[in-house]
Amino acid sequence: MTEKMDVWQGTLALMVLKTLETMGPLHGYGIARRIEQTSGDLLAVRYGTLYPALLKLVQEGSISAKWGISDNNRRAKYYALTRAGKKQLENEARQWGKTTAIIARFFAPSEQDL
Amino acid sequence: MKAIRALLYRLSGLFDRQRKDRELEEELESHLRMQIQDNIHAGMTPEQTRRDALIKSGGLELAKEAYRDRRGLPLLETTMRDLRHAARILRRSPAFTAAAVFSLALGIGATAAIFSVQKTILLAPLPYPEPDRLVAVWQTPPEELARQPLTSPDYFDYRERNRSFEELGVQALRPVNLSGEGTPERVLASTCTASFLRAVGIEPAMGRLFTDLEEAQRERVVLLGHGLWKRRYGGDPGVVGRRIRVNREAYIVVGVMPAGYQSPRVWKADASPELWAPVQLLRADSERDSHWLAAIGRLKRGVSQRAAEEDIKGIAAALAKQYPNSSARVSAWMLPLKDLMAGDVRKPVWFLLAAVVALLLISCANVASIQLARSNGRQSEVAIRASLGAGRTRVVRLFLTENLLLSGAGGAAGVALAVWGVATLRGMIPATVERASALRIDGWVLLFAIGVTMASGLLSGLAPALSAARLDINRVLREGQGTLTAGRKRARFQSALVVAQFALALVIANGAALMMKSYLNAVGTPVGFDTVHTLAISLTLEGSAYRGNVLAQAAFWNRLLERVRAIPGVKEAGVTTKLPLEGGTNGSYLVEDEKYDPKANRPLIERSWVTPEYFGAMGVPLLAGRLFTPGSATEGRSEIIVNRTFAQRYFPRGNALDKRIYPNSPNRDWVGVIVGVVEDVPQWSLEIPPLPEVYQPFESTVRATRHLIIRAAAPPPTLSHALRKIVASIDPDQPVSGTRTMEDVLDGAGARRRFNTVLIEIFAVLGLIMVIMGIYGVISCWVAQSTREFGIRMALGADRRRVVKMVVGRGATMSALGILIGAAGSLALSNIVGSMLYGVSPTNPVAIIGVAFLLLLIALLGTALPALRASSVDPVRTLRAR
Repeated sequence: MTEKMDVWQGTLALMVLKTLETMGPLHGYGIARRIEQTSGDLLAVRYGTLYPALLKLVQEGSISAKWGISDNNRRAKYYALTRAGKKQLENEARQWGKTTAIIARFFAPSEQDL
Repeated sequence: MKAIRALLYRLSGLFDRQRKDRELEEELESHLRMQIQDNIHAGMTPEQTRRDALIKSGGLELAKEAYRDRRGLPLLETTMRDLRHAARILRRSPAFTAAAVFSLALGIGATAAIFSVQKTILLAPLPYPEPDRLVAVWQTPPEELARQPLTSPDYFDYRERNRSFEELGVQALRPVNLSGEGTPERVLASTCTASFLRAVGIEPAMGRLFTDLEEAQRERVVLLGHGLWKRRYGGDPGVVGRRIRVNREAYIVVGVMPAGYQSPRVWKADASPELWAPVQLLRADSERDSHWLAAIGRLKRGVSQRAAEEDIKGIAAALAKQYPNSSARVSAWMLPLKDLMAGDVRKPVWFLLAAVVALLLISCANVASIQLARSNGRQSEVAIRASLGAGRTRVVRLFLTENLLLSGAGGAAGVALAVWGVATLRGMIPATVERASALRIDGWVLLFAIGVTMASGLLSGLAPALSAARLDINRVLREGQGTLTAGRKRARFQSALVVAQFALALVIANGAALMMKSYLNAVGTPVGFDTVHTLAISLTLEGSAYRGNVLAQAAFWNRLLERVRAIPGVKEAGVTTKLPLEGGTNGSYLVEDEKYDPKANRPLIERSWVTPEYFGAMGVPLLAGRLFTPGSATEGRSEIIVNRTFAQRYFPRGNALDKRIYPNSPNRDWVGVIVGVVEDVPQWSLEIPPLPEVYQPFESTVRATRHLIIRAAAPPPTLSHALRKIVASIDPDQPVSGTRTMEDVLDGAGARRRFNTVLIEIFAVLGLIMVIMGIYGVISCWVAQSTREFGIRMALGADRRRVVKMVVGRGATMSALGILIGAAGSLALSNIVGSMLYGVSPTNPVAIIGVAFLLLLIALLGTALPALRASSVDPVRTLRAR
């Protein structure tokens, strides 16, 4: 079994927003699972990082939280993307795309080198 | 925006924590269950699943903690917790707490009160529009900066020729009589130019200012002060346009000044005028040596004071060339009005502020050493906290919170004290101090008090906090007590605090002793007159019947004197044109062979006009010659009496009698012949030595205001009524006011110095109280810690006397060291203090040695009780206790 990486705080928020956008309203466990799966099980999401991050997003108004009933009939808190959250996601996704593109250029072998 | 929203959320997180905790618990629990469910589906055994789920998700409690931190505001929450803890700790040792709060309250309260004085009197801008553009203009001999008033032709020339002033105006204060409505009243009036009022820049609350034209045409118009309008004219809303009687002549009221308006005060002894009327100025060149007008100018925007002064000096130089006989030695200079009005109180206020800061430092040192002593008993608490993971910063924060709470309590009590103190100060401040009535605790003073409170909390808390943070946990937990070295370090620090306190206290107390001596010197100056049963009543004869009419004035005074002397109990009654200690008129004379020379600098000689009975009534002894006889003044010749200083300066060989003096002018059209020499009387203040003075017979001048001096056998107050009746019977329109004993006059002269002295005395006493608390606290703390040591010593044969000696010796060493440092400090500061003193050197050894002994005595008092406690240690019990 390979060592799993912990998620870094900054990117976790972005992952949560993206997850909620694709999956719709979801509970904490679902979000954690989904992120782990999407990462190809390379990431481990612990609740010590997940729940504070969710709370921060709620406080900032990017997501909302509501108690609901899960698939197997348990009470669970469901998180859903708000309109502000959608906008934030768009912004940050664009930002992220730019950043990765720039970083990628630094690491890509340049044509002269070839 | 997002941040604010999050903050609000987090603030709300502070409330209803239990419900939120339950929700979190439930959420995490459901998370866990879902994980378990998944694991079961994946085929794990139930025991494995839970373990795996927990590992995967991380520690449950850790997660809760992280979540809680995010939910609320951890900083605020721990602070609240620390505060609650601190309050509990402080409650547990009420005596310590009370002592600390008491110290801080005194320190902070005194500082805030004096700061409010400083702010009101020195820092606040003058209550006029754009006050920085206001200056006072003086004339002066070229080589000095004397404050000589302007002459009226010079004023006109300055006003017309200058390029620097937007407005330049002059005023002269004089009492006037108001009659017509009810009892006649004597009030102070400012006779001024219209430009004077415009320069000051205050608009009347009702009506208008008078105009240049009205001034030039000598219209009888008048502006009323708000207080006078309320008091005498019943606040009549239709007063503008009304006729009132001023000096028995009808004047038309053109306006009422706003409430609280005070004319700029040019001389410190000036009272505030309540009425403004146009001054009547002559432009004749013969007026060029009559200096009587106080000038205020408003600079044009953008003109610097320096440029304006150059301008005015240039004009004065031109006038000196043009009129060499009168103006050869007249230059001009100016002073910002702000500096002028605050000038003579600035130094005392800074002095008091310095004293009060020293007091505050003493109180902080007290609290620091109390807290250090208390932290000693809390070593195990700190050690346990540290072993449970509290970092150094956490421990420091805990202790600082405690100190801030303490200083907060002290600050609150201090502000209450300051409110009371400022109310008391307002009543104590001499009336001649500018703007004293505006003294109060306002927002700025409060802010200052809060700042001082925080600073003193940090200052007094830092040492205990750091000492606690540096604790050796292992030792404390193993042995149940702090290491000896830590204890010793703390003891050394406490001793240093005591030394510092003694040093500061010595500086304050020495200053206080010197101020006290100066005050006693000032009021103990032989004044040369009697104060007991001597009454002074000021009367101003005004109106067409009296103006310029020697005979009418003389008739009034003669009838008055005649009847006053008939009152039973009156021993003697005389009249003078000025009272001792209240300034007056001066001029220069040529004595014997001196020749007139407009370029020579003749000293100023004080001038009074008196009846011969004045000297007896005032109790001024005749030293040589005789008093005036009837008919001693004729046209061009007059008998005169000089004071001792005059006689000694001009005739050091004691042959002043029959010598002659002449006016300081080209033609000798008048001669004064010295017939008597009397004792000196201080003229301007208790602290300015008597100047040469010439007394001339009462009949030889026409002066509206004179003072009736009565020497009575009975206590004076009973006279007042009889006197009023007599004056009313001679002239029913003539007001009598300003009935004072000479003791009142003397009191008024010492008022400022008394005020400063009383305050510094109070600070010194407070300082000494705190010092005694400080040394007592530190020594008894040391005794408590060294009980075992004393027990061992006594077991080894030391007797009680020896133990007492040890304890007292320790106190004596600390205080002696502090006293030495303080003495050195006092000497270093002697230059600054020196200028505030009178008749005593700032390095006076008697004062410093006396104060040093007082402090040693205090050290002895502070150590006596702990010493007794140490000597009553029972060696057997203390040794067995371990």
